[in-house]
Amino acid sequence: MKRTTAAEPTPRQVIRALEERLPRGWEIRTWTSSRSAADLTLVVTAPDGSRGWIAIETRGTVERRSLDQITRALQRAVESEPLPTAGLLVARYLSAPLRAELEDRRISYLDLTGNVRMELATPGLFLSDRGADSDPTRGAGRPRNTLKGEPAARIVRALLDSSRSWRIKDLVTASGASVGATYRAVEYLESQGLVTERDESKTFRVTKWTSLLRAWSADYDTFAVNRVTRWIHPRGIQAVLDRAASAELSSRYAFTGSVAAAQWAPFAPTRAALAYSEAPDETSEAWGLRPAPEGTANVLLIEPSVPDGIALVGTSLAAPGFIVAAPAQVAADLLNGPGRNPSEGEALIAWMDDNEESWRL
Amino acid sequence: MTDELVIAARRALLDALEALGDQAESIILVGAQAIYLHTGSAEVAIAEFTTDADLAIDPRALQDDPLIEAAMTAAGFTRGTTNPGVWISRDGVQVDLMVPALVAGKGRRSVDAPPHDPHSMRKSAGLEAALVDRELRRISSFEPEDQRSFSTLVAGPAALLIAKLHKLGERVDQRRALDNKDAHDIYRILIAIETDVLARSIEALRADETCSEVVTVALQHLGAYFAADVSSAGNTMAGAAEAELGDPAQVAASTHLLAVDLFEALSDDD
Repeated sequence: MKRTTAAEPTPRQVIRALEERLPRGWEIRTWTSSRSAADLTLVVTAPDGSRGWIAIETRGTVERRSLDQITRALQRAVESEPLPTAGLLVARYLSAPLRAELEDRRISYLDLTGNVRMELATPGLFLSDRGADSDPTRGAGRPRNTLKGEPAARIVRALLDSSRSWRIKDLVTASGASVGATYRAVEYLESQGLVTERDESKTFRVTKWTSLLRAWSADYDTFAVNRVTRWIHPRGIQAVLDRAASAELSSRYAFTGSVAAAQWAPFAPTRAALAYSEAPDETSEAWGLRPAPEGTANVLLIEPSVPDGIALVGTSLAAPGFIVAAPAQVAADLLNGPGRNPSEGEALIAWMDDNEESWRL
Repeated sequence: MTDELVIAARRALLDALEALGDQAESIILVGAQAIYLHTGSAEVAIAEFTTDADLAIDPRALQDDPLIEAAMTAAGFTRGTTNPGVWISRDGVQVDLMVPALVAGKGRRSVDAPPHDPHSMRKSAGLEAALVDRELRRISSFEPEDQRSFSTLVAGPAALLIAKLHKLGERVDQRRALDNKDAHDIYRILIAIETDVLARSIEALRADETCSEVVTVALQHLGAYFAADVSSAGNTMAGAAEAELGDPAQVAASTHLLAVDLFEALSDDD
């Protein structure tokens, strides 16, 4: 399973970069294709309504020696699509020599600095543009990790999970974070425009919860801060869900990732179930999981690094009888997840936006 | 989503069941179409896929009339020229009529079941368990306009597992990609059927003199190619069947774990 590294372009960066360069009247959307080997598949609609599909291989950085492998991966991605599909390599930055080599190989490419050369046969489309000639990510970036860690997570989750106006002391109570941590976080959120400036009555509101969620997920990586163990259930994920629905556990758990998201916004079938578990040994035993040999896991158990971790706050019982984490937690975890998880995160955020009243109290 | 070829394979199966309707008590559905009846809901990455239909025939239950060759020919099937028992439907789908070796007589490939043509059916090792482990199931078309539906004997999961293990054991040394599907069918059975249920059926078959020998050989294959190690040939082949579509390593590991579970369940019963 390939982890999306921090440097790899996210689906929304890819879409935004393409949208900026598409001629007027053209549209681009993500396309769900369950058998796809691509990191991301997009569908482009021309003004006359004709459509073309693009299978995308995303890379953080690209080195010359990996071009053969990239060529093969793109070919595999294109061939895995049932509809006529073009391939596109998207990287954070592609140097001039690499771009020349890609052109020789007739591989369409795009980098986030604006270097692009893309050909689509049907509907006919040719994009070509020059961006940067040096890697901008090597320079200084914006301050990161400001919303990292458990206190920030508790504060952001409190702000996300209810739609209301806040005073600092309400937020301290609701989040369980310290007064100091709450002040620091709110000041930072104010400076970023993620919450309104405190007025005379010392109250503030979240300006746009989607922006707050994305800012938090950029800094908070559940896979990095918590202990992750890898398991396999030989009968697959459905068997795990059935067991979870019927087993009695003395410790708490909650599914996150695709399994949880599917309760609200169904996406492609998933290959791995992700669940928070206070006691992975008890959970694995009850669900019939075995330790997974390298590369075979279909269940990942995430043990919160602190007692009463935020991930297990706001859980709910899903219709099939197992417990799922709160939508905001699930969305943040998906945005940081492997493979197609970030696209699923986007789909969940779209659902959350349409159904705010059902999860944001 | 049902593939065009899968639809055609079911149509050919119904053609054969209709043709052999008067011999229904001697006909048992085996092979992939039987496996999918049991495992339909199993969670696997590759679609159910078969392009042929396999029928086992119990010659002890065969009537003298109609003759197998006459019934098949009248229904539009053509005898294949390669092996005995190979019949081609009007749509070009292969239907194999096979007789378990134990009850097929002395021929090498042909079948000794007079008055039927010895070449109308093929002697085949490993299907003996289907003579014992079988149940009546209703087989219908995948096409709405085809209203045909037949109550048919279908081999049980344990008998099908034993037959597939036999087939795999005969061919594993050749390492042909074509046989990966047989290993994957074994994986399908192992994940779809509860281990205890499978173990009880296998125990019963092991105690039956018609098939005890075949069961013993099949379990040796299960041990050597699946339970021994996660990298054993059968596990690798089952995984390879999902290359590009699913998760080969996960399939191989799952097949291995379930084979080990089955062995443990069988030894618990002793």
